[in-house]
Amino acid sequence: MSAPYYNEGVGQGGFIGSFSASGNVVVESWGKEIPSSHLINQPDQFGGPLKAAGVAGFKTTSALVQLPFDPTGNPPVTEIQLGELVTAPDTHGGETWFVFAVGETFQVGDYFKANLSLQKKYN
Amino acid sequence: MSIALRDIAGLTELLEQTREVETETREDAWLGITRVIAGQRVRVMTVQDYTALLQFSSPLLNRRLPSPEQFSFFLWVLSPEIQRWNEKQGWRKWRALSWIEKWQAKRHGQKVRRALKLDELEAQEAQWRAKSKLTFALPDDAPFTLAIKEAFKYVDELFLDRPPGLKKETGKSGLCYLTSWVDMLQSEYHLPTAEIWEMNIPVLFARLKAIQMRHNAKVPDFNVDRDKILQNIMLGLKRKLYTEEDLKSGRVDLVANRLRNN
Repeated sequence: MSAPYYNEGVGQGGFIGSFSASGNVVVESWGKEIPSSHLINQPDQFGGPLKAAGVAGFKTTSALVQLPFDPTGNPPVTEIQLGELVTAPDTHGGETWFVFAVGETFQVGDYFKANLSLQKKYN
Repeated sequence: MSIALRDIAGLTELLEQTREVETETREDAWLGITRVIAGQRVRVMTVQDYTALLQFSSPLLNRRLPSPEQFSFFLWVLSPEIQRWNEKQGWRKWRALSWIEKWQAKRHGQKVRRALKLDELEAQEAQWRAKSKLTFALPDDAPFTLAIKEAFKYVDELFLDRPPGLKKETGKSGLCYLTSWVDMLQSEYHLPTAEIWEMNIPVLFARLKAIQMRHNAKVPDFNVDRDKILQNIMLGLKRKLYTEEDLKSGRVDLVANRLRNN
């Protein structure tokens, strides 16, 4: 189950995230997923409900980012690395996340974008 | 520190303005509205026009400075008159009258030359060369400079919706760009080749983008004007032209991408 966390359609729903290695990166859409829950159900001898417990899973999120492009830089396009940390601003929960998957980089002219998957940093 | 885009003073308004311009540009492309560059009417570029300009290596397609001849050729290829010749409208189908096309092309070039005041510019250049070994720089207010800026704007708007490609494309397919375009459109819309050939470039790109987005939801949405604004902010922060506090407090001119003077 997931729902868009904040998206107004013209771009102001995003934020500029300060990534630990890549620096300032525009996060265009931030779709926080509700933590998955693991249900532990113990039925009785007839299969009816006897005991149950629910445990919250790890929080994950997806993000579309615009990668910084500097024609004078080397390399000109800054790619996001696995394991980078980013702290969302308070408007977006204020939590710290780490990148665990980076999708393909798409390009139009001088503009580069990629989809990221992140998980909340717990300690 | 991270900063929400909505906390950047003036950004929401600027993005709204950009969105309005983009919407208008996309509508104009569908309506096929002509515009005027250097006093000449210019159509929305079709696939056929694009291929012709590419064949003649028109520098304007790559946003490079053209010579006056290249600029005049660019305007002629995009003129409504050449389209009438291509379609052999009315009396233009008579072969015996084909010399009129050459005469019209020459006359068109002369009109462009007059509109751009090239005689004056060439005289200025000759004077400059006589006294300096440095390269002659086009004056900002010269009609030729202004017309080139208009043409760049026209090309930028045409390519607003070009579909995104992967950054690390291998180019192994060996397909001509025309084959890819025609193949994608005919697979989805079953259009005759002639219709694609005459399709306006922005309409073609919008359709290709729609096809791509329908088949691959992970393809990000690109809006070049909006992306440029956000790119500038990232660069401004990286180069330490301003801080996040400056962005929040409205001390940054987002269009010029620098701190305000006052």
